[in-house]
Amino acid sequence: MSQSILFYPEGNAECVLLELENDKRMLMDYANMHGSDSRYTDLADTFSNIDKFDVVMFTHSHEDHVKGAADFFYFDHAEKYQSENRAKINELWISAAFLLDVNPCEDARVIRQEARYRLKEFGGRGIKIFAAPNSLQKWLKDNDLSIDEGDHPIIHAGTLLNNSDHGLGDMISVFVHAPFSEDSDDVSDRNEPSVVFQISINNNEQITNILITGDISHSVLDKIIERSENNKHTEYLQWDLYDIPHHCSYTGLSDQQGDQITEPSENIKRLLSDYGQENAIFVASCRAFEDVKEGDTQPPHFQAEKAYKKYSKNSDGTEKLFFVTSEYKGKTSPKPLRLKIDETGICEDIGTNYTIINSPAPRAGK
Amino acid sequence: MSDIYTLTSEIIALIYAKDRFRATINKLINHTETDSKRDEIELDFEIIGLPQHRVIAVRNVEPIVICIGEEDDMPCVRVRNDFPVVPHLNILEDNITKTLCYVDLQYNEIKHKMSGRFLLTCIENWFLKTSRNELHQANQPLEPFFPYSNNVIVLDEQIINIIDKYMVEDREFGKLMYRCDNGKKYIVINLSVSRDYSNLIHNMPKTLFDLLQSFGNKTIIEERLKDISSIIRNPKEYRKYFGQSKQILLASNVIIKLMIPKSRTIDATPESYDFRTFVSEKPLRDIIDDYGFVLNGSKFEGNNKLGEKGKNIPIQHFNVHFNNLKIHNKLYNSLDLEDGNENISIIGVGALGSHILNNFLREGYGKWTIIDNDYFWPHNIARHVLTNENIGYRKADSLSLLSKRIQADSDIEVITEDFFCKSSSICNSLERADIIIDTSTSIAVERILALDIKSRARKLSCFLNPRGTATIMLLEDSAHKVRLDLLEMQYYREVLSNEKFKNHMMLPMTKVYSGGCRNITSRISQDDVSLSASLCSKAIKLHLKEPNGKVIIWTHEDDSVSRVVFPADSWYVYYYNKWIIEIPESLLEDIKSDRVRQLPNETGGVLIGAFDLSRKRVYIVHQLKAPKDSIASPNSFIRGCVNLPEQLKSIYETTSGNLSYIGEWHSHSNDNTKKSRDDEVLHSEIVKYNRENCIPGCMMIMGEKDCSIYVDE
Repeated sequence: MSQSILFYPEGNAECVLLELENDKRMLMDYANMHGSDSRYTDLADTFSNIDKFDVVMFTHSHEDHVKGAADFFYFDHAEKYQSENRAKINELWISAAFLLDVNPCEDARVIRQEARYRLKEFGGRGIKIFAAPNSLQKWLKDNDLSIDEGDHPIIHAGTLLNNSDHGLGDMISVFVHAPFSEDSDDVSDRNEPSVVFQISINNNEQITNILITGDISHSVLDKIIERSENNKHTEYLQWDLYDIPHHCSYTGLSDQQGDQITEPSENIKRLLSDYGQENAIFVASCRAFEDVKEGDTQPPHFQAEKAYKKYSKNSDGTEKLFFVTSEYKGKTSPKPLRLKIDETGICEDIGTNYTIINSPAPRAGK
Repeated sequence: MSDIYTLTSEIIALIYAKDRFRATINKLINHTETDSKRDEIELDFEIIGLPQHRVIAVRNVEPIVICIGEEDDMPCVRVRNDFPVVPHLNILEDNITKTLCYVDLQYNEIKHKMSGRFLLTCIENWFLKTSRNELHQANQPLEPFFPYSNNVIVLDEQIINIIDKYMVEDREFGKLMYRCDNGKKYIVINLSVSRDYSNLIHNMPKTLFDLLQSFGNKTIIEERLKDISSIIRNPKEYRKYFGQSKQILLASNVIIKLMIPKSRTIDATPESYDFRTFVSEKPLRDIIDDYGFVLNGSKFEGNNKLGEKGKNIPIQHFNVHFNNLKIHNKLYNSLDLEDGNENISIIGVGALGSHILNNFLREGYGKWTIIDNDYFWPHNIARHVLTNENIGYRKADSLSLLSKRIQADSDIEVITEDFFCKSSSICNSLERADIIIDTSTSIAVERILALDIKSRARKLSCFLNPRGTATIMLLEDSAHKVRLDLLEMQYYREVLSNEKFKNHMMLPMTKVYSGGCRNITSRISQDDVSLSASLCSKAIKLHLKEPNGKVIIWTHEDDSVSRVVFPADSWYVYYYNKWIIEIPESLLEDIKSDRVRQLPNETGGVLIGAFDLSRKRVYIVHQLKAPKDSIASPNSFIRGCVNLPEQLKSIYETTSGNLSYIGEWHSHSNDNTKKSRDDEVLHSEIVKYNRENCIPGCMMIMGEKDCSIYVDE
């Protein structure tokens, strides 16, 4: 058994595709930045042969996580999004904050409308909403929907989703860390109520854990760590693949960028050192570090990269692998990063090795 | 960078490209500045695609040094000194430096594809597979216990002597050591060691102490000294080995023979054995001294020194090769060990016979007796397995010597008497044989085997046609019902009956090789002889497993071979006076059908066959049907002669005179097959005609139920 997880080079934007052996696909964010920088992968073109995703999850409603979605996906709520070549979404996962966003970008608006449509018209089928803030109650009421939470596919932080919930297969479970309902009201920063979860994949008893973090800040991360530790469920904090939050911004570690290194909180240090497994892998969905010019305050921040490497070393003192999506195989023409997950854990997938030097010479008679 | 080799620059370019490979160059020294005269690239090499959970602790980034020399020099890759000891890792003589065994083929075999990308891929592949402990493939033989060195000792598996004589010679590859009666004396110690399942190449021991230490054996030397003491105490035995002098004993060096059982896993039974030999560079005198002993009389006593247990005794490693035995030849030829244990007599070891025998000896197949009285002369070299060193010797004797070089345990027997004298040794040998292979290419030999020799053996004749463009095998059935002479007749008939074999018996050019009128040799190709021998030796092994008799004809095309197999005919036997007449069932049926078809008239035809006058045998093999101008009535048949002379000429030519006109047949409309007055006249005409050709005349009368055959001289 093996699965693949692909990270696409889109600059400071995110798109992650999980391909399972049972042919199911889970897409996490879709931000096609090819139009603004031709070095980046044209997702619409790359995915042109895919007619359906089993789950599409948007961590939050920022453009760098949804760009181009309105032109790519098939949406049930309006005919204009229903041309044949569009990819269908079997189940759409977004946060309550996304559902209730009042002034999103156009792509996010279309996604939000689809989510609302599925809640209203599909009786909750094909949709999951993460967190249940007070404002959701009001929206349900305003839209003449039942205000009973149980009548809707609402997922709270701390929920473990199995095959019966997500339909992706028995080998995969998803533990929802965030958003917290209390952070999803009156959102001032759309990053904060990002969907955060741990995907756990079982290959013949070899468990591989993937932390998907969206653009959350260190304070939400601190809270996640505290909650899991307090609930004695530290297994949900373990990671073999850490999808670094917020394009490797220092904000995923601390308030203070630091001069040479960002010093994370003690919780985050533990997350990196204790919960990061031997030979685990970091992936930062961000620009190439060389593209960050002097005075540029946008991520990625090298101080953050240093911290991730420093606080997550393997037992023999070596650093964990650290991939930057827009640098993979060269920043001038970066390629999607494909990681393979199997009974030996997670590793970079280099495809078939055609070196046949270990085969005997196909001639006899010496 | 102009001073670096092309391969070095390719590697550097790939690393700078940061595309397929990820590495950091820490140091580059070109070959003009290194002792090894190789470019050295020190790298931090990232192993792309390493599994997260590794069986062997390969690091994400491994420090390596790639050493690149001249074109014919295989690039070498050094790893960190503390890299775990794993399969396919070479540990150099300093026991510190480790290099990758990144290909398991000789460098010449991969040199044509060597490039920077290939080398880096090989290195990456080595680390990736090692991390999973999958570099050593399941179908790959286990690693040798010790690295190979240049010296070789050739041992005789069956000989176990405590003291033995060996010769050591310097050869191009290193030292060659082998048993030899003229050699120097050595004390031989067999060291038993326990099973190894590490599948690792171990450090090469440098001293006797290292060697014994690595197998945890501390007492073997003391134990063997006791054995030597007992030899010294027994004057007769001592004299046998050393004559009068004790100095010879003490001056003898020691050979330590090891047989290391190896298994793939801790639980598995040994799947192979690693045979190794070490030879002390110092004599027994120094060894006992280093062990703290001195020889006093027949006893080894303490010499008041603290024994160093061999630390001061350097040893030399010899790779072991074993003299080839029959069983090895069978194994290497992938033959079943149960097969080929029969007694086989081969008659005639000329060109074809020697090649067939050579094939079988190299296969370890058969217990052989060679019967041949011929000598080997220069002209034989062109198509024989023997060479000019055998000139003037009997072929059989020389092949017997050759067999001992092919099989150390060869038990070949040789009879150099004339086969035709049918001596008791020849008869005994044939009586004992399970299989008799006639490669004499002599019809006379074949007839003797078929008709005169008593033997339960399965007999077969192999030969080439006169020009060497076809191979023929006549194989008797296991019940000995269809003899070689009958198969010979069938062979002629098949040659006659198939247009394909029209030129089969055409005679070749010949050459007189010496003064005698019989000293001629045919001019046929060695390609055809060796091809023919291979076809025969292969077919013998295959077809002897089946009980049926058969005639096989292989035609050698320009560069391929086609084959026809004819199942052996059944033959009827008739007796007339002292003549034995044999006719194949198929021909008899044909004649019967012709008779019935022409009823109520009589009919007839011409009988084609051969006589063996000395044995008073007649072989009726074929018929020519009644010519068109024949006149038939219910009471008579007058055979016509349209086209008959041409047909008889053709038969004679096609079979090279082996088949010819032998007489006539005609039918009677009733069951009376007695000769009528007219038949008497006819038969006497036949006899008269045949007398011109020095053969009797044969007449067959086919009646309603059976036939009668009359032969008269």
